[in-house]
Amino acid sequence: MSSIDAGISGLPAEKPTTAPEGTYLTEQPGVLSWLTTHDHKRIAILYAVAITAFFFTGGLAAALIRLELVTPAGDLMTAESYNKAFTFHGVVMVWFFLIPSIPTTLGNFLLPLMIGARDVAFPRLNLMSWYLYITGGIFTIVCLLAGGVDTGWTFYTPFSTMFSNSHVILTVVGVFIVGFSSILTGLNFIVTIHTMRTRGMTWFRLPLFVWSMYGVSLVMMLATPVLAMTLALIALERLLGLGIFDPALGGDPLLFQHFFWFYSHPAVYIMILPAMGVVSELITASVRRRIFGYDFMVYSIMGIAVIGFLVWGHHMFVSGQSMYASIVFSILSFIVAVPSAVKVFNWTATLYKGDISFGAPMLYALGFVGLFMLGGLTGLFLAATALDVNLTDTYFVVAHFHYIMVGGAVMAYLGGIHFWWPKVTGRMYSEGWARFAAIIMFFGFNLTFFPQYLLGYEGMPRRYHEYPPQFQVLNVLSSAGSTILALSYLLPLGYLGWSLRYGPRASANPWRAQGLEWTVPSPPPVHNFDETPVVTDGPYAYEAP
Amino acid sequence: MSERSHRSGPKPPTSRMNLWVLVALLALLALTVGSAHLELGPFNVIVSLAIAIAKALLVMTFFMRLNTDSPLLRIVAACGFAWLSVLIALAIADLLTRT
Amino acid sequence: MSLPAEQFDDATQQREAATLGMWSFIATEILFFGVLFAGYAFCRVEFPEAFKEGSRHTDLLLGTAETADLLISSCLIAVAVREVQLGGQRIATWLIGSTAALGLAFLVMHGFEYVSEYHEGLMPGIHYTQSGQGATAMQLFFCLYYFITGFHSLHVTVGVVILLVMARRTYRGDFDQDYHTPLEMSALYWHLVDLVWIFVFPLMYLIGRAG
Repeated sequence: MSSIDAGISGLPAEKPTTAPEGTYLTEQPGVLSWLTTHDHKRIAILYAVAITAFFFTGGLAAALIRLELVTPAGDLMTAESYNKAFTFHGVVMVWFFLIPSIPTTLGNFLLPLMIGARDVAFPRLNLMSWYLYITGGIFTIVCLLAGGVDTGWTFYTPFSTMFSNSHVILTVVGVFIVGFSSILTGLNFIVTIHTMRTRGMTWFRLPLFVWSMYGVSLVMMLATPVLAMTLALIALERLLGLGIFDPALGGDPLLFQHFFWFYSHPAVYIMILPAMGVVSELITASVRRRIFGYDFMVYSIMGIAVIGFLVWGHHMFVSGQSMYASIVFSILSFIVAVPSAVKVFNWTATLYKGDISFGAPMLYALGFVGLFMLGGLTGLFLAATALDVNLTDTYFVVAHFHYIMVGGAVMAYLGGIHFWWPKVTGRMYSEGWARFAAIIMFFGFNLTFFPQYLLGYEGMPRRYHEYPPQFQVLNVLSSAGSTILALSYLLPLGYLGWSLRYGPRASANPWRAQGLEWTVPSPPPVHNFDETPVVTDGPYAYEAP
Repeated sequence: MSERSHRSGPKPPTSRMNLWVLVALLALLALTVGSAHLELGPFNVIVSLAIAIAKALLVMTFFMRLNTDSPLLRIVAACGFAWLSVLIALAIADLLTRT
Repeated sequence: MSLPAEQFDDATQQREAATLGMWSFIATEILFFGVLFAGYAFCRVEFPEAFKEGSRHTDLLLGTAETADLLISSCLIAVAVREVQLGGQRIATWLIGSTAALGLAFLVMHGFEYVSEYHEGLMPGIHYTQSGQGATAMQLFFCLYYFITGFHSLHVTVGVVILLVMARRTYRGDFDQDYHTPLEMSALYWHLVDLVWIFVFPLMYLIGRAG
């Protein structure tokens, strides 16, 4: 038996050479069996394929934007086309990539495994969620092909309801449908976690990834219905000419913003909570220690989920909202940063005296911690009303949310994909290529988005296809960075795809990590566990080094 | 009628209990229609909302069996209303404090 | 039909899961409709007189009848579930069918309301002939009125279909004392429909009626 340390950066402890029989991948072949599956693992793969496709289409839109912004003049696209480009980028990235990404792929795959269950509570509903996602996606693509929508992903009234000449209703219907996909996934996860934990798996023995799935599901279920009705109201107002946002009738466009941001602020926590859950798993496995302050990590997840609902007015500081409401929202926005900060401290403290290995998952996790911290700190700048008055609608905001969404959530997603790749596919990827991609991603990302903080500070507004010449240098740097970033996203497509056919076969637990998912073969059998596991320990029960 | 077995789920309310709840609901309906015709100023809203809440609680507690089922379900129901209250409260607070 | 689905350990876990799932769905519906109630609150604070005037144009008699209709139907379906839980089948089938019938009656009554409102010129964007000082703002009231009652009626329609399916299944003996989860969940959905209307009625039909 090999005594080589099989940490994240090392070689697998065992090297099985034959393909395992009867895995979820091979049992029941044929496309139709995949499209009618009830297996949460297959549904996760279905989502992963669709989400990857949307990620790259949204990325293409971003490439167009960055290309346009290389020169101060609006020479690549007209203003209307540019509006359609950033709208498409926002709609696709928010609703068809970020919000579903981790929950529907890693969440669907891992949740039952991590709690010792055979599947989620409602497998058929799970499949329906995927079909709803695809249907919503089709509407969005049809809208694009029909000429696109130019309102921004935020659909502000009265432009979206009365003045835009683009395909608002098509897009809004697409997002409405994908919203129900979200709601049903959240419902499934909440019921699964409440009712299907295996014996001994008490709430405070759950891995933090499961807690993050719980938190995100709560937010999904409580916020998304509000979005659904708001979008329905836009469509009705546009279609029938009757509505409550029309100032001519005495309606208030700010009412729309209240409704929209009541969902859309918690939406950003939908995007980051799963990422935080993933990072907790990546760090503990790469450091081979229990997480520091498990209980507070749990409280922080729940705290973020709840307080995240109380801050939406910070998107409306300059919209005409009452000054007193703005003060309240500002204070609450400062408070919501606290649980996030607790998590950053705890991840860092977990590293202390750990047996650290720097495989690709750890690089992504560390990248997350640093970039999320920067993004989060700049959120505090924006939470201060006096600063926000100057920074709002500038590139400072754009940089802020991209640091969190891309530097944070996307890196965590990629880290998770790498970490669980052996479990999901039964293959090992090339560690060398993976580390290379992670490192250039970090540099490409910072080169793309750090200049945008400076641009925003200097006053460059967002959503403009042309700008004054003094902003060009920083814009060129940003666009150059985006090419490196794009490359770093294409590389994993390459080496991960390659590994599916040529990668060495993975053992059940190549990283020697703790967690129920590592006790089943790679890839797992259809029914997950041969014997229902019984849990006697908390999570991350690594031996002291 | 002898005690019939109710093997799955908590014990259901008796048919009589269900009917009494209905009587109460219809009485509250009459009350709310009647009180709407009285000139109570700002209290009209408060009374009608209070009656509506009472009816809702009756339906949830007895027809939907929240009193005998798992406590978790009461929390779920409460969360729905609580979150809605936050939306309404803060939006109205903005409206009322605009200068 | 007594075997639990494959992912569950036993029938109790299955019922627990189904009930929690349905109540979670109900919570989402509260928020879904809640947006319209929030819009109502917002607009009514701004235009109290216009809202009173609008409410006076609604049909109090039909509205009251509709409310009583749904309350009674809620009672019937609750008793139906009780019947099945205690092993009954025939009475339960009739009760479920009657609930569906009351649901249909609700839709018919509401249809009458819409027709007469159209003739009175109270449909903004389609046929609105009101004039006078508050007529513009009253359109806000009516927009909300049609949105809320429209979405609600959609849910009633879905509910009626579900109940008819449940009635058929009960008649065919699909359910017994140990397993009748779909019926229970359908009943919860129907109660939700009733709950929403309990709030819609006073807010839409009963303001401005004094004096």
